Amino acid sequence: MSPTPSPSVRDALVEALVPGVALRGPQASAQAWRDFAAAAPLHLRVGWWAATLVLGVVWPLALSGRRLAHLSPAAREVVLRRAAALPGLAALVEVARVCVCLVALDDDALRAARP
Amino acid sequence: MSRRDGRALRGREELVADVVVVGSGPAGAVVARELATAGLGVVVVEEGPWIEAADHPADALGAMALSYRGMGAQVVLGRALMPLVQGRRVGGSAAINGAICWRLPRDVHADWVAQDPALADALPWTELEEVTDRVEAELGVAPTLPEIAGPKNLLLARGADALGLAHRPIRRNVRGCAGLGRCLQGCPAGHKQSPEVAQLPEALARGATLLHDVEVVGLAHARGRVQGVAARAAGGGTVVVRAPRVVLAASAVQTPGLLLASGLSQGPVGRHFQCHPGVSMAGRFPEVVRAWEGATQGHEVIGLRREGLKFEALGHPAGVLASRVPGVGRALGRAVADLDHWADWGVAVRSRTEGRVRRVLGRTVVTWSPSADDVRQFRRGLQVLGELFLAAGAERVAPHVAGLPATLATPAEVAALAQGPRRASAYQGAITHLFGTCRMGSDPRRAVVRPDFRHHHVDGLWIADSSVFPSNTGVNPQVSIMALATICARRMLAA
Ligand SMILES: Cc1cc2nc3c(=O)[nH]c(=O)nc-3n(C[C@H](O)[C@H](O)[C@H](O)COP(=O)(O)OP(=O)(O)OC[C@H]3O[C@@H](n4cnc5c(N)ncnc54)[C@H](O)[C@@H]3O)c2cc1C
Repeated sequence: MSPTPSPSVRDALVEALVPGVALRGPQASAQAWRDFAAAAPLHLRVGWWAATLVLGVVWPLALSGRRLAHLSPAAREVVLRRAAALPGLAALVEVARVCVCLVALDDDALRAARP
Repeated sequence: MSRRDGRALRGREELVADVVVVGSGPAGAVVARELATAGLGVVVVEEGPWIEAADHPADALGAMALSYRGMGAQVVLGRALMPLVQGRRVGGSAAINGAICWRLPRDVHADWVAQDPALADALPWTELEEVTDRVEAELGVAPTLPEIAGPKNLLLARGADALGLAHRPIRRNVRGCAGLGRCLQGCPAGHKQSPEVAQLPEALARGATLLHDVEVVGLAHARGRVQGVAARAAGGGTVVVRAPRVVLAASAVQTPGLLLASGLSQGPVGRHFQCHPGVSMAGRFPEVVRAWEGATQGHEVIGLRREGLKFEALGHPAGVLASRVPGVGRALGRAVADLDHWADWGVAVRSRTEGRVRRVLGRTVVTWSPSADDVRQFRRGLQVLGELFLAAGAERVAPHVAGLPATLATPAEVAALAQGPRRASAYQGAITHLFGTCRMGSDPRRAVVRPDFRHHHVDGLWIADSSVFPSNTGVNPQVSIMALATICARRMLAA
């Protein structure tokens, strides 16, 4: 058993971290997060859960009184940038970056030839 | 003889063999093949799965979940939580490695002999040369061809030329490589000559049995003699393999872990853990690089090897490369959308720092912290990486050092990396080469195995992997591991 972030908090964080990038579709994404939960060691799952909780809920609430999911794209950007600049939160931002890039991005689309 | 899948084993199974080999990486596969060829009944037990080449996923998550221990995210415990990356599958870490081949450097062998003069005769340089020639010939080791190198490798050559640093195409164990760039996920075409392609099929053809998805949990031993191994199958069953000889080849982390779990703590087992920590840097080029294409690791800069720094082009899956580009939010989104212009190059550090493998609450853990010297090497290595990128034409680089700007673009900014933070935790490193935790030597107080690879205290027990190396090698170790494993098999046959 390990903590699992709620899909809405998780998805808000994903969209805020890498806006405008091809993500896996909803079904593939749900499956990828399940694969991640099954394969990742406990410390990584806990790190990811803490990152979603702090960056998706606690930190934006403290800054703006709202959760990340309820903020405009511009406000989300500010929340994440300020977290990345704080030594105490930068490590969580890094965990979130790595997990999101591994799990949420659509690898095929990333590799597809561009004009 | 056969390959058996532990996922289908539910009850209790008992096997008898002449020799049981634990682990199917380069060390275990070589020993198994040599002993099976000599006519011994060999059982190889491997914790991870058998994966057909065509089933190797292209994406980072799929590959890491399938082939990497702890999804590539297990860490060493210490002042910096660095990932300790290992394979967990048939073929071991070599099935997902960069295919880089280096012979054991003569100066490293000389160091070993200086530490223990008995090694001059027990592990003579001439024999090492001879078996290394054999290994290289068998694996088709040859320099990466320019036509399959791809831009990320050729750009590193350009940068090194501009700085006047010695560099060369990497010598790799591949046959017919088409530059698919997927060594780290497992070659989908079976071109990489890793153990599941090169040695294990021959071992099986010569009568060996491979049990995969079966984890050895302990060694059976009594009155100073080994009797076999006890194992747990992924299907829930238990397996006992009775054998008068056991060869541990489970890697420099899991081999000492198994000894300790089996109550065999004589000598410095688990101590003297050494490694090559590495840090990397991403750089953005004006031209398209498509770093996931071309030979995964096809070029290296060796001009600073004597200073303990070796630079390599890296060929990650796209998802991993995305995590190496800088920024959050729109900046990261833009960089990821522009991923085909980015490359990631790394530097491996020959660290002298020692750590330890222990058993804690029934788990094997590694403690290791970079020393002040190591951090100095990270800083210097990153500075040189930055210089290489700029000399090769990169517009900016992402050093991933806490407390420094996310991107650097000028020679002065890059030069400042040499004065970067002194805290080890400021650097994002990773460890892939592991050594020394059951080291070889003639003094049982200072070594776990004798110079002929036999355990000092337990008859019938041999260790064949890089845990027996008296120190790290400063270069990529798979060829040295296979050379020493060949000699281990010879000593077993002669015993
Ligand atoms: C990502 C990566 C890239 C690398 N690139 C290079 C490179 O380009 N060139 C190079 O020279 N080296 C490279 N290396 C290092 C090289 O692959 C390893 O040094 C080498 O594979 C170690 O060989 P080994 O046989 O000692 O252990 P491994 O290859 O790690 O094999 C050990 C095997 O034992 C199994 N095992 C462990 N415990 C048990 C148990 N209890 N029961 C049953 N089985 C068990 C494991 O699952 C594993 O398959 C790389 C490593 C990694 C991780």
